[in-house]
Amino acid sequence: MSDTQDACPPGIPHFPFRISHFPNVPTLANYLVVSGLLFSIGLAGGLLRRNILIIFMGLELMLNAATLSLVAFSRFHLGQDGFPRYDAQVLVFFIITVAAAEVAVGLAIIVALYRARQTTHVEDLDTLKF
Amino acid sequence: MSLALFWIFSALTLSFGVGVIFFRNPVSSAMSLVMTFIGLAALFVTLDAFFIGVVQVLVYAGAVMVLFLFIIMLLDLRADQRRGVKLAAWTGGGIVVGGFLAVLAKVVFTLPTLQQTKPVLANPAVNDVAQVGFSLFRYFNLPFQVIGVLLLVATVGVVVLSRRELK
Repeated sequence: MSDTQDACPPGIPHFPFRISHFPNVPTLANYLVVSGLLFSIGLAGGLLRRNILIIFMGLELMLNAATLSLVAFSRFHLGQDGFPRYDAQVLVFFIITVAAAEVAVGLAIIVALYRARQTTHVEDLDTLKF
Repeated sequence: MSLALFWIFSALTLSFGVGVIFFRNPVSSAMSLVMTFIGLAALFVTLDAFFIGVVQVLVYAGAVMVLFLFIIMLLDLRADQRRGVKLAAWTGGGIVVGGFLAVLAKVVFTLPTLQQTKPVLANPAVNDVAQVGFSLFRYFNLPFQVIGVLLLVATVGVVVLSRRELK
């Protein structure tokens, strides 16, 4: 199927919605778009929300978007032996481990912060604001 | 079939991801985050990454979310009361997110190499847990040990951070 995909006549730009031979399996671009949208949602959450816990959830969404694009790249670019590149999945494993450690430390910091200031709103924490 | 599953799970992931941002109640946000992680795990399974999908459910939808809900319960958070709209944050966020999406759309929709479909695996019944484990212990043994130290340091750090001061 990928041979017919690449046999597009030159000069015709590659648009995402080519009606003529629309593949009935997802392409790499589909996964990257989902990953980018998820990253944007997380970024918007980190920028727009004031509750520090929700900002933290936005960070988790961004990390997960990165892992989705890594796994997609590993599946769509096979190695020499015809298997997915498992290096990317090992990297995702490491990312998940680091994210778990990060969540534990971050939530402990939030608890310590709440104990000191009795708030989780970032606007109430403006000691360092210029 | 494959495309339908992909769209179902990505719609699930993205809609609950939007829910994380827009719910006022932190518990609703955390529950939406669980559904986002489960949708992502399903997307990993559509990419034949069964090990990563299972780890995603175990670590994120299990451990991390329990931690989040536990902290929300511990801090006794109420739903956010509405405050004034932060104009600077909305404009800055809109510019950054819109710019990122524009660059992404330009790259994704113009690069012909990204329009490829999934190549056929040499052996569809491959045991990917064994493959990931082999790669982990054969080529990434030192990072694996280092990540163990990282987890230990994080555990000790959390204990130190959340301990009451004894004076």
